[in-house]
Amino acid sequence: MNNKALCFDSEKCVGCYACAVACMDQNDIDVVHDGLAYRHVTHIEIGGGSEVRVVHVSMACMHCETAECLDACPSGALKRDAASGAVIVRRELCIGCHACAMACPFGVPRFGHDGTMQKCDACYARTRFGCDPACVEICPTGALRFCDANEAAAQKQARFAASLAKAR
Amino acid sequence: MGERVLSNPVVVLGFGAAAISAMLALRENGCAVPITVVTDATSEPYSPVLTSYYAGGRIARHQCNAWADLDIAGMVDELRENTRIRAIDAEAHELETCDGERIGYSKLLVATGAHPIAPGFPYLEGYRPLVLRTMADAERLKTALVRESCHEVLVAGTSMVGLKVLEACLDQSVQVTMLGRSPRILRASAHADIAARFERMLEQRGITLRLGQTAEQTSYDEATRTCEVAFSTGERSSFDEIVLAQGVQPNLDFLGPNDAEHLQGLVVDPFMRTTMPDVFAAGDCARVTDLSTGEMRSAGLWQCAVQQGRCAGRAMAAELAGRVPTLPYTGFIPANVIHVRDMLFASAGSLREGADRRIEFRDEGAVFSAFAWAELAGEERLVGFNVVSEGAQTCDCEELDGRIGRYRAEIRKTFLDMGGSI
Amino acid sequence: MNDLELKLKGKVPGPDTGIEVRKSVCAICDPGTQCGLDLYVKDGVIIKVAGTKEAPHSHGTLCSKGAATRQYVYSPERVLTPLRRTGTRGSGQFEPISWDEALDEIAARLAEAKERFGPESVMFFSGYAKWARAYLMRFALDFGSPNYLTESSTCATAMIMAQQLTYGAPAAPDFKNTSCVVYWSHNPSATKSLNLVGIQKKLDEGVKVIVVDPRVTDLAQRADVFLQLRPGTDGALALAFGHVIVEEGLYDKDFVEKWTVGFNDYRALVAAMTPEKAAEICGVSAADIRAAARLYSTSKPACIHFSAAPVVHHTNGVQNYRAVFCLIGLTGNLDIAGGNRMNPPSLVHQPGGFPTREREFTGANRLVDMPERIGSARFPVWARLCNEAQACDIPRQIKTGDPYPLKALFALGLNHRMWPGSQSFIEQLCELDFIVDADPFLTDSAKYADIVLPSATSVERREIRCWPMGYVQFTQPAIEPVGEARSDVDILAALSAKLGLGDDLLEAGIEACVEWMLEPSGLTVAELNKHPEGMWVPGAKPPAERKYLAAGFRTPSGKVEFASGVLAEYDLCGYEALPEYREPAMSPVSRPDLAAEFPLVLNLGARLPMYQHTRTFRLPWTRSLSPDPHADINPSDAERSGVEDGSWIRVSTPAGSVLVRAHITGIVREGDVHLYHDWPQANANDLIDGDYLDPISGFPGYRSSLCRIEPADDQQEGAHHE
Repeated sequence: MNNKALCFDSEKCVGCYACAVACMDQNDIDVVHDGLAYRHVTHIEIGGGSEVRVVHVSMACMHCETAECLDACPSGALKRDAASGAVIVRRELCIGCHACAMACPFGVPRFGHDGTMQKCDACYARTRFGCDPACVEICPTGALRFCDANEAAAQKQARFAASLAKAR
Repeated sequence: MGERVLSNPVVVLGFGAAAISAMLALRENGCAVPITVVTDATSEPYSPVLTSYYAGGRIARHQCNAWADLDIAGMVDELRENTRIRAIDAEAHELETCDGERIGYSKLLVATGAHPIAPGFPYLEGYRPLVLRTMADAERLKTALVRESCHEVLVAGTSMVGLKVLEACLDQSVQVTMLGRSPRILRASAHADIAARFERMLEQRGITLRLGQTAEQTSYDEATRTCEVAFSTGERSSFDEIVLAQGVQPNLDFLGPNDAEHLQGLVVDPFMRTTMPDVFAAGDCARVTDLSTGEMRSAGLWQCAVQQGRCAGRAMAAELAGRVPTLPYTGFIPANVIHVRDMLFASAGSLREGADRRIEFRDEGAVFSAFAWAELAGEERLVGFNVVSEGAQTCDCEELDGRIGRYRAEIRKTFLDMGGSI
Repeated sequence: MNDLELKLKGKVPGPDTGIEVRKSVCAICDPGTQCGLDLYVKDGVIIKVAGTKEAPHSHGTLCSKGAATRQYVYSPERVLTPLRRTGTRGSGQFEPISWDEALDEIAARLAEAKERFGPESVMFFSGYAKWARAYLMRFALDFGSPNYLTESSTCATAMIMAQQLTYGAPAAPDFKNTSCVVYWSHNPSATKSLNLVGIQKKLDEGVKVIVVDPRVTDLAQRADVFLQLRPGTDGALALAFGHVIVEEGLYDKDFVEKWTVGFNDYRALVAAMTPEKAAEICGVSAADIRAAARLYSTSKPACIHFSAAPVVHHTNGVQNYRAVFCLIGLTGNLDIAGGNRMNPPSLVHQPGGFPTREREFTGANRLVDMPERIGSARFPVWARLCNEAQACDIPRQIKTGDPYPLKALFALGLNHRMWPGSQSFIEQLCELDFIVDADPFLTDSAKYADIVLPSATSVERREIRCWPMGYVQFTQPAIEPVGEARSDVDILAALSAKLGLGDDLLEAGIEACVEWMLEPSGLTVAELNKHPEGMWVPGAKPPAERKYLAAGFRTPSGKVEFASGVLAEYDLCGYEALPEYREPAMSPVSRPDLAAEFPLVLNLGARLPMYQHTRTFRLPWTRSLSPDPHADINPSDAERSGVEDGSWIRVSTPAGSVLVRAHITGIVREGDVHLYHDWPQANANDLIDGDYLDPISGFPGYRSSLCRIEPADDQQEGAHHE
């Protein structure tokens, strides 16, 4: 497994939804008949009055290291892609029992009209061949990246340090 | 452990979710000790959760193997099918098979699962009621349901298994009467008001409910191949088949008739170790902490079996390598979801009423939910929820699916914070 | 899955998958954007889109609208053939006809109108897209009509006028080299998100940021000073900036002395607008005004990032923005690196660092010999500064026939909901004898046309675009046209031939026209054709600094005019030479009588990132992100009105009312309602009258009027309005 992962930095996200639509485009999502987007953007308003702030979060499957959904799936439909580490669903094996929905703390699993579960697969079919996930490819601010998770954390730390220095 | 014992294989008793998860964990954790699987089954591994889908005709036999793409057979050094166990000689680190053979082990995992029981259901001369647990049970049930003349089925039991059987029957276009001793369905997991809503939904869909009743007398007519049942109300009905879904009991009869544990499951510590040295247990035959009550009991849930099996496998691998096991299994909270036709029921935690609890209902028309709140450190925390929904909402339940997992996670956190002390 | 199957699933281009990446530009919003589009084409069909990484302006990014290109191009609402109306206007009943039949009929009807009522009775209008405007203007003038009009009648022209009146020509912020930027109404999270890449970088480098906006935008949250003003009070705020800068001696005395006129009058004007007074008018703190004015005037260099429409969508819009633009001259930040720089456009309103003959191509000089344009009498300053007619005056002229009757309309992209009082606008258009609309989609406006022509989208046609860093792209079609769609220019060329206008160049088609326009640049079509992905312009030059030293400013005085010489000429119209602050015509201050019944300030301009006007409502992907029309309401106002978050409410003004969902949010001021516009079932622009206009520019006062809100019990009514 390579150690590249989908990384999200809420400080950089402006809630523009480009990632959400790029995901629909990549995955040919039929929002009219299935109503299922894999990636969702939410806006969280914090504080009030002059202190009001909006934090934007772009979220899809977290591809958890210890993924509860993997344990909960009784049909083998969910599995981890060895090459990318992504948790993927093989819809042909899904029986629509909703056990993954019950297991996932993030509300990720959704079921289409054929009753099977659908979700983000971290574009494993792209990353395998050196292409970025569609959401990362399009992100205008670099809030979503496909990179070494530790590297992303280090960069965020460096930026925070710089802001501390500036604040002095 | 002596030299001889150390050179023994790891023996896994059972070939279900807990057993396979343990084997995977043994290998993932670098354990190279040979594995012997001892099972009373004759078939390839299967997922018991899938048997109702098989009986209902939704999936084929080969789809019941949740591990089809893994080389499970390749992980097993010796597979003893069709083999029943008579006893465990813990001191000698040996199993005794019913054929009198002795199998030595370095570590033993008991993952034998459970079997259906039918307490109090009257015996039928000439007819063996159906059950749903093993693949063989499912084969029988399916054969019965697809029979041309099968129109009316009595399902005894209104717990999750009963509803699973109901789903299979509906998939095979069979009329169903559900019989339950309790005055309401889903007694263990649903709040009375939620259960009542669900009952109404079932009745609206043509399912007959006989709740708070029992079968007093039964008889089987060989000529018409029907079962006549006299209920406690005095009414009588005839059915083409009867399915018993009243509960399960761990498969631990080899522990001896005097061992009370075989009724309820082997008590284990957080690393799935039983009181017998080098004997582990996982899955439906193990008793672990129900975080919502603090009681030790069999979880009876697929996900728990997987996680317990993995924990046991990891612990065995660690001990075999001379290390102290890490990553304990901390217990479970009851959580269930069932999807019957356009109806969905989900529950997690505990909806017990009490002075220390506040129950809140949210009626959104097609979606009806109940929440149980309890106070912890001056803060009101979620300890249980139920939801039942129907219609397009269920098919389009993007939001509902999003919610249930979050509630379950929230409840689990509450109970972990409470230290299982409620 | 084997590797090939996986690659096909991942849409990985290559010879094995047969997926080819073709380059184009996105023209869903326009201009100044045109993000580079990578179209993944398999078997002639687009199967995925992405941003073009090599595009120096968009860096491989797209917004949510551009990302939905596939649904835009392959929408079931695309017009596939020319259509002739069979039902009543607006009914949407049409029959398909051939191109020949359509063009013959159009030519005959336009010639008939010309014959009977004069060529000026025919209007030539361009909405979106904007790329073919030069061709349309040339075509209109060939035809003999001065009435070339565009959607800029309610978009950018007033902002340009405010700059022309002040210093002769637009001066864009030189963001890259600045140390301080004032975002006077810009929300890149919702529009022009391609700007975010640069903004993020500058913010990380520590550029000072001042944000002026009635809402707490993302940018506002990162500003050093944020001024959340009442909509329509920008002028007062800008004058108070001037007050601080003059009073504290922070202005560029040398520049003001040598290169401005009217400073003494301006000094007197701003003296009266103390920060305290402005604070009261605008609803911001005087201390923040002082801090912002000091930061802007003492940071060297500093620029003002203005935007096309927000500040001029008030009945006092031109003067408001003039007051803002005066600050650029006051601080000497004009036409210097890091300030606001004049950079003449090369093509389609955009500078590209090279000279062209686009203006000559339009033949605008022919206007002088023609009858007066629509709106010329009512908005004389518009007519003087701008080559277009003012489309907001169309309904009046249709109704009155003054100064001459209007009989026909030929439109490329008509959207009646862009006009104030949209419903009465389209009703007036129905009085015309003949309407043609060319559009990719059968829009609600197209349903009023007698003939509808299917237009190609950007990915099906060729168009030339340029960008300020000296980059140019002459696109190739990435796919065959959908149905029988044609490029707007092909339509004009064919029609020109049918009408016998004798315009050989236009009739020769787009390559010939582009070659002609590019002549002074040294660029050739042959060279551009080798680079469908675009190319750097050889020898492209950034604009020189301080060009005024040699040429002065293009104002009557040749200087920056605090007191406008042009406006002074029209004092009979009631225009003031100085950028005096006047309340919006409908505000709680100007109309306390109305405010008793309609106590909230209504702003119709808010945008969401997935929508640009009506352009992406019809795409399921973008629509799913925000399916219902809504209004942003402050929590206090919501509580006072008994409105719950997400519930249906009625927003009413003296002109009408709409049903929308309430979005309760602290990002809007107490007392303001921001209504998202252009929804077919809740058209915000019907909430003001067609005459609610800025007297100088003729621009509608979209962003400040009065309203009230109340819970709508008839929720179902709202839900069913679609």
